[in-house]
Amino acid sequence: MFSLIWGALGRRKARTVFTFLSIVAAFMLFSVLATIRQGVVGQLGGVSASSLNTYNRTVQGGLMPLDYANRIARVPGVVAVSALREIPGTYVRTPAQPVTVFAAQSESIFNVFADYRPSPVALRAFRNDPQGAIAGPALARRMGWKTGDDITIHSDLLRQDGRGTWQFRLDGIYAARVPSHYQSFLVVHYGHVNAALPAVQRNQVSQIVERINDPRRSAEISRAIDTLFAADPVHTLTQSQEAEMMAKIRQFGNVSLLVLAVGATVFFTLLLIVCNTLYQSAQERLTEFAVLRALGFRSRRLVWLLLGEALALNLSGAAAGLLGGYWLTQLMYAAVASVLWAFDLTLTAVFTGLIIALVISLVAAGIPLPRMLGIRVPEMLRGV
Amino acid sequence: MHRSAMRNLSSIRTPRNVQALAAGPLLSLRRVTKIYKRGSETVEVLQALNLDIPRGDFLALMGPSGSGKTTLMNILGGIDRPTAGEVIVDGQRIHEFSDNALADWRASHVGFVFQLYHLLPALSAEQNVTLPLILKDLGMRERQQRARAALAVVGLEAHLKYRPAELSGGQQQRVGIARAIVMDPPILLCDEPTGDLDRRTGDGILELLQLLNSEHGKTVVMVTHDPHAAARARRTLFMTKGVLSQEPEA
Ligand SMILES: Nc1ncnc2c1ncn2[C@@H]1O[C@H](COP(=O)(O)OP(=O)(O)OP(=O)(O)O)[C@@H](O)[C@H]1O
Ligand SMILES: [Mg+2]
Repeated sequence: MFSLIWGALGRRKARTVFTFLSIVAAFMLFSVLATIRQGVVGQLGGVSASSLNTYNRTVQGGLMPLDYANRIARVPGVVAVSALREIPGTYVRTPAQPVTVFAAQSESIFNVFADYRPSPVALRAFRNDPQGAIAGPALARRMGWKTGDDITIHSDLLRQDGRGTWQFRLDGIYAARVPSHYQSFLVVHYGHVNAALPAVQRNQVSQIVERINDPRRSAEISRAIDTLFAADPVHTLTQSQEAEMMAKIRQFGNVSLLVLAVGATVFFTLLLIVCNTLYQSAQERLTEFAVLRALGFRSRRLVWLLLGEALALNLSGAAAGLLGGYWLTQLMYAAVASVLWAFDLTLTAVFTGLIIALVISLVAAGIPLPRMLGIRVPEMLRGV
Repeated sequence: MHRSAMRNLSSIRTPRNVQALAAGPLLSLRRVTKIYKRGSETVEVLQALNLDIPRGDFLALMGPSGSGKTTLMNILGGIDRPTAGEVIVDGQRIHEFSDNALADWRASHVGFVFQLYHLLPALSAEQNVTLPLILKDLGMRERQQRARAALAVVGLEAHLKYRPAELSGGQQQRVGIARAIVMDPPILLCDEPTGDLDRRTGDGILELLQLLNSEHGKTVVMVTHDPHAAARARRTLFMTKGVLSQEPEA
């Protein structure tokens, strides 16, 4: 049986090879598309609907009074609050790479960011160390930092003494299954930073983060928080991390639809190519099928033969294409990882690909089937 | 030919074939009629034909083109059905079989040898001969052994890996014969097996068929246009317009 299938495929080698390459190319494209889609849509995965972010609405990117955090803490549904000031800076040894320092209220920040897990030892060391810092895993990896390292950050935010040099000590690294954007923070003590600032700069925060008790009420609680400051000069904009991410994803357009459209077009074209190949191949072999019938092959066995040929061609092509696509996305990963952190060929995508290959096989084998089953053996064997 | 190889093949014969000379004909046709319809006109190719072929017979079938010889062979071999009448082989009324049952029956009872060889061009000689064995529940090794034994019988043990396109017409027909005997069927149906071959090459094929008949007990029915070929058979029947007779029509 196997030699029969193999022989059938080897009959017109060039045609088989070109069809095989079409399948490989289509499935390579499929795996790249699926990976990009996962990169975009998958970002939602690690994002919590129980975390809210509050920003200055009046001046975009502006600061808010530190006191806002205390008032937010009293909003029903809010279980933890932490205020933080984002300090843009660079590490002294790698001035080209920006580092985002989060000067956060250290007693509460890891309660709000409950998905970020420094070890208890690291957390205790951090809390007892005013100059202490906890780094995100991605950041630590990128910078080559280890616990105990002294970290000097240069910033445009000047200290009271007029210098932009900030000294910290790394007490630990948090583990996080969250977007890489959130894996690159350097968390330091707000109190320590605040005290070093000139008086006019003090007691200001760029962001307040909240944890709420019921993710389904995130919109309602966000509104309650913003209402709180309706009468103040600085208004707030509060939304869940999820809502924020959704807005970001919307910027990519409807990626899923795009991927679906391109994928469907490619696979439809592929279907036509494969159908054409198998139809021609079956058509050329009608006499051979008649010979096999004469030798005692039941028609069901001929069906398997045709199906086996389609499956061998499609599944091997699909497997090669998925593998090639995986390899390609590995090459692309470095370039896109910062934007599409979830960029990955998922098992679901691989299975989807194999199922598509299966369906194409069934359709392509099904088309010449009636013709093959309908052959009249004596007439075919007359050799005309 | 290659008698040692013959014995080799004999050793894998099924007992059914060994109890050869039992009473009654192996093949018998009873009032077999075949009518083709082409639009409104009907052509009666075989007319209430009766024929008995005993075990061990080597029957040559002659007759003008279009007289119905191939049609008769197809009905004998169970690849075509009579419009009316009975086809009884070894006591089995094969005209009543279902398509699948008939396919199974063909696999074990009949070996076909075609004028145009009908080998699968993508497969080697050995793979072509192995084809019918796919239908049997055999291990790889045994399949290979049987296929090689059959190819040895026809003198092609040195050409196992050759594709049909790399073989001469005579060699291709030998592969065709090897394929026909590899399942060790009791019946060989050969429709103009030497029709495409020159006299000398054809003689080799005919000797082989004679050998299979005399030494191996195969019942052979052979269609031919060549009286010289028919002379190799034990007896000859003549077909004229769907009727059989002992003598050629004047
Ligand atoms: N499928 C068919 N439909 C209609 N007529 C057919 C069909 N098959 C065969 N015939 C007719 O049946 C008659 C006998 O054909 P057959 O092939 O049996 O002759 P033959 O004796 O083998 O001839 P040849 O010596 O040329 O091979 C021919 O007249 C042919 O036209
Ligand atoms: Mg004929």
